[in-house]
Amino acid sequence: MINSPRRGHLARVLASPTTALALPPTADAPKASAQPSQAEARLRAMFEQYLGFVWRSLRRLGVADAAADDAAQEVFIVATRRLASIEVGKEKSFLFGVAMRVAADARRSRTRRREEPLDSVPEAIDRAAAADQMVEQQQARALLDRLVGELAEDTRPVFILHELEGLTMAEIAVFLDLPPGTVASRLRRAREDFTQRVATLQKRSAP
Amino acid sequence: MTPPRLLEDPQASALAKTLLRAGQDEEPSAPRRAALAGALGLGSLAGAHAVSSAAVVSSAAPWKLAVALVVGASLGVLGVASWTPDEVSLATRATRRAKVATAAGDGAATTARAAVAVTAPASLAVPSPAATPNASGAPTLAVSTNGAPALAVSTNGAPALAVSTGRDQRRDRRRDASPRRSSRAHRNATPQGQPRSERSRRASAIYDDRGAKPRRR
Repeated sequence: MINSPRRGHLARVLASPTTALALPPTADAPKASAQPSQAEARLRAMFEQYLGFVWRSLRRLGVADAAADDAAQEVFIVATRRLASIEVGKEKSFLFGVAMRVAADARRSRTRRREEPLDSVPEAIDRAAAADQMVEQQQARALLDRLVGELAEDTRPVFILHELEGLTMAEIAVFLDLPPGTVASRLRRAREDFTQRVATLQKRSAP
Repeated sequence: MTPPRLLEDPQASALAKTLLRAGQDEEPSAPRRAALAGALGLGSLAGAHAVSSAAVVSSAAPWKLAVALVVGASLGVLGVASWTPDEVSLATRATRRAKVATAAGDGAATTARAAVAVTAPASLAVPSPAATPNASGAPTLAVSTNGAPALAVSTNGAPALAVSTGRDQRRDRRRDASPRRSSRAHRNATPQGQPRSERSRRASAIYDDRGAKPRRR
């Protein structure tokens, strides 16, 4: 559930003169009125283009389905505050970095409160889908989340970005600001770990 | 060099591929997207949702108009079906009177000259009034049927089964010549349209022109 006090947060931040989106002192008045609309357009483009990516990343990084709305909103609120400092073309890596921190916070807070996620409750839109397919998809995603969650903390983002989002190792190195050799070694370890866990699961389920 | 993804690796297990594919397809639903956009204050996205709702409402307007048209057309058809033209009502009244007369026992005398009343338009070839013993201003074809009920066809397309006698037609001609009145005033009025006095009504109420004592009204 989305927190209601945060509703319209972007509009308030964009309208606020103390925000990071504020114009430089040399800007004249007509530009001052145009600047918020440009920022809003950029954020809207980011939202439309990367919401799915942010959503999936949060889910694979351990955020429950019921908490994914709030977590995604948190990511874009941070992006709104720091929009001026985000380099053009690096929005995706910025959002992923924020998503990693937000997911870590969500995991810690869930551990503190010992909450059980409500992932077993399907959302209304899924009710229209075939029941078998829905159950299979949910079971597969739950199993994937469990297996990815059991990966080492440092190898997990590399695995997600490569195996689920299809990024190359060079892109991941830029994304995570890591040396390419480190990315390669982490990816190799993560793949071995994941494959081994899947094989173990298959052996257990085999008659 | 980047290794191939597990999804594209032929040596990867089917279960691993299934799991990765399921995770790859996950997306927030449209209502959740709209809710997030609204929460972030992204007006156009939330506005798009509102516009789509408005579009639904506006698309409902022609639907309502169509329903109103259908209802109106149905009421019109019912109105046309229940409307009775003067010719048809005349034939209906004659039928009713003939039935009453038959039930009273004097049907043999009065229905001997039953006729088929066919009201024809001016363009239709109509027998001359002289050929009809009960001819009136309206062109009617009088055929003696020995009291058998005959078909009265109105040229406005509404067929009606009617039995018309010569006496009934005379009475109808008198009634049509006088202005229309309410039923009570009609009973208490002379053919000239003047109300009868109480005395003349008592005098005429003893016997009617058939020689029978009229029923109390």
